[in-house]
Amino acid sequence: MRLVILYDAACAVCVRCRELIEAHDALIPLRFVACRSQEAKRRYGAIPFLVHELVVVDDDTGAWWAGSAAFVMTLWALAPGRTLAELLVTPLLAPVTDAVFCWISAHRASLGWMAGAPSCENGACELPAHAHPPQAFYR
Amino acid sequence: MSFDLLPAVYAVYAAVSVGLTVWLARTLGNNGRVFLLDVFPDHPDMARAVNELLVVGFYLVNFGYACLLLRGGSAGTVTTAVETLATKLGYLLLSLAVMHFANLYVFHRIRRRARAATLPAPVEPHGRMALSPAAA
Repeated sequence: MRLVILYDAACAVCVRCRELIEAHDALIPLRFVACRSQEAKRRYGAIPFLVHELVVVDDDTGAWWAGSAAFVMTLWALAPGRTLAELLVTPLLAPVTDAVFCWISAHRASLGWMAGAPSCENGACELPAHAHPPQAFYR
Repeated sequence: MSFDLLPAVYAVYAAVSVGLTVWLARTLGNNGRVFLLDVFPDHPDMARAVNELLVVGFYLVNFGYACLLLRGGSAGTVTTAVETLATKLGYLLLSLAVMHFANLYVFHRIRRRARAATLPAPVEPHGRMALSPAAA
């Protein structure tokens, strides 16, 4: 299993999440592709939720997950997140996970202030200039 | 005429605690090896080393705790001697049980970690797409 995470590079929360994920030990190889990039359109354009939702694709089998399931898969791929991911899909918590993820996803543009300043190194993000608060704000 | 039965209690306790600890450590070692060889199929030396280290830790903790439990207790009559012996062995057995299950949990975690990449996904995929052969 090799997971490709198709994320919204124009969203500060998403770019910040990418940084957090990359800072952790992954149990499954992870690769990030911006969902509006040429590569995403060419290779994963057939997936209906692309660009609208977080999408995770297994690059070995072609299986894909969208929305909260994609979030759970990403969490499950990380060493410190696996137990939590298994907890979040239990019948009791699955609706809560889904609701919280959908709310954050729908409001991701206006939640940028929570994300802190994401670094835009190696083309990880396509944030408009005004989405970057001044660095001094965080000191 | 009454005897002080405490030395007898100590002797029985020492024999039972040593026997139990050795038996449990050997059981743990023999069966733990199977687990660890499954986790490190390419490194049998590594499996043996991890197993030995766990068994040594098991011995250290249990003999240490068994020695601490030896002290104290009264054994003026046969009844109190049996009670003292039973209390000491009870504490020892419970501590051995805790250590044993802790070791099983460690084996379980090591094995789970090694198999992490091949375990089935926690949620069913929403769909499957045909991937172009030119995989990046």
